[in-house]
Amino acid sequence: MNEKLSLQNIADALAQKAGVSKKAADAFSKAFFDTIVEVLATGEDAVKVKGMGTFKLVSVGNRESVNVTNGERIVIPGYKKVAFTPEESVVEFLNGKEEIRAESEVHTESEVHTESEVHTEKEIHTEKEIHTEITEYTGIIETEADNLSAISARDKKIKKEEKDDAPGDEEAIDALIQVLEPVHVEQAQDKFAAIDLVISTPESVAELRQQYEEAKAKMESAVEEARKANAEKMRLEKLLKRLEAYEVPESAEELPAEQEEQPAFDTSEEVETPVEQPAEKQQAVAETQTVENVAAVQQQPVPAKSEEEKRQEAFNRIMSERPKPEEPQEEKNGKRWWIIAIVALLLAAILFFLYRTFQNIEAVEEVPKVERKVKPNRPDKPAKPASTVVQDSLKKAQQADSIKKAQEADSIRKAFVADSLKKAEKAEKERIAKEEKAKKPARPATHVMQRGESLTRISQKYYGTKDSVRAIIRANTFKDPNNVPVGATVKLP
Amino acid sequence: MTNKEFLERISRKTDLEMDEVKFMSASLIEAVLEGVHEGDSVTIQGFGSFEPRVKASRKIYNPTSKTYMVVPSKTTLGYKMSAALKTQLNKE
Repeated sequence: MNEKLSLQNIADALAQKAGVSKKAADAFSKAFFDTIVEVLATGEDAVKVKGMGTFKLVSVGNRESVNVTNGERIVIPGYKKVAFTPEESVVEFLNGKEEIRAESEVHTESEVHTESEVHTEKEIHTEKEIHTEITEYTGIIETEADNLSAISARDKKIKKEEKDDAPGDEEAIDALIQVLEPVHVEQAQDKFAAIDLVISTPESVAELRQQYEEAKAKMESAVEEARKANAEKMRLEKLLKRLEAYEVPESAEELPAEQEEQPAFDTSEEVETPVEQPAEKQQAVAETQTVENVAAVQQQPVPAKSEEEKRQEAFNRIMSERPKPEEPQEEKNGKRWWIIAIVALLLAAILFFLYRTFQNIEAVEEVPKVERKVKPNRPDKPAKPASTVVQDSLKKAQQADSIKKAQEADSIRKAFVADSLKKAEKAEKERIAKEEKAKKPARPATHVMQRGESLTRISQKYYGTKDSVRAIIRANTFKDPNNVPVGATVKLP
Repeated sequence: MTNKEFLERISRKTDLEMDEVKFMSASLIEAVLEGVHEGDSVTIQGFGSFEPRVKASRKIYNPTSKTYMVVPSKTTLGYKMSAALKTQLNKE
């Protein structure tokens, strides 16, 4: 009773129990506890020992305290400690296995008050208790499992012993094994051979490769289609430019500027892979047509002023716009009309821009480009059949493109809106946090205890940390700091 | 770390079979618990000490049946780690 036992005493008891030498028992018990220490030192957070409990590594946080001699606040640094939770079976054993769980008792009303206070004090511990209960239950489950395995092991041993007792049976079993073995070995060998076949045959590899190639081809064809569509667009645009170059050589200065626009319009990949062969063919066709048209154009000079106005109107509904028959201009007038046309187009573009900004940012950017590309075709307007086909397909491509861009723009806008909302929320939170901070310094000098409050809670409330409990206790003279009566006034240091 | 892993580690360390380790550790724990059961505290150097800890009886309130129950006092296995272990764990 109330003795202090050391490892030596335990080792002796172990030697007696297990029937081993004292030396071995001593070595084992040292190894046992050393292992626990080693495991915990390596950073493992818990060691479960069946029949005993769980050793858990717990870190204790920094806490604030006051130097008793000079009243200075000091921080006691945190540390790691080993917490131990005993198994349920251990507790049962220590209590003599007689567990009188709980007696129900009905109390008079006068007692109710004190009871509830006791209860609130205990509340703090309940979470911990639940946790320990859980670990205890898991321990029980483990011990049950271990017991089962132990029982099965024992059964095996008994069987072995039986075998030894009955050599006749053993012989029979051996004979059976001998009969069975060759068949099994053969089967196993066959299986292995089959597996080897699967692994090594070039056919299976070829099959896999073929599947891979098929999948790859599908992917590539899809990519190719997309590329073709883009290349088609590119080609048509090039065609248009060729036409301009043929008929309006003076406008060569302006062409580079337009060409600069185009890379922005197309994605980088499209630029890299234009389908060249069909484009060249069509160009050849278009060239022959344009040569003929140039001749026709020079024969019949017509004023183009009204045409300019018509064009301007047409730009306002580009999507449904159709090319109108236009008369060519003389080369001298060409330059001046060009300038007028550009100014008109710019005006139309600005109008469009303003109109579209309310709907969609990206689409607006798209519009002016469309106009510029159509424009250079106008003043010359020679290859009517060729240009209509070209323009139609170009428009379609552009329409599809603008729809895509509009969708992208929409998603971008949504993301932007969500982002700005988040920012607003954050700002709001920060503001609230600031206000709270601003409130804190203005804490009252005293606090009247309410029911259910503890000094820890008060510390948390006024100082934002539990560490100031000691400071509060020092500033007051409590009979029992763990049980401050309701209505008591607490000075806040 | 589970019990199995723990025992395997001891088995490696002591060159004993798993069955033996199981048996020995069970006996060792029994020895410690018997000591504690008799009211003694068991101190293992470099590890800590085990002692019986008495939890006082308390009354609890059951809000659904509105009755007060008395949870009787019970003894649990208390453990306190040794100072040596503390310094070893907080070396860094």
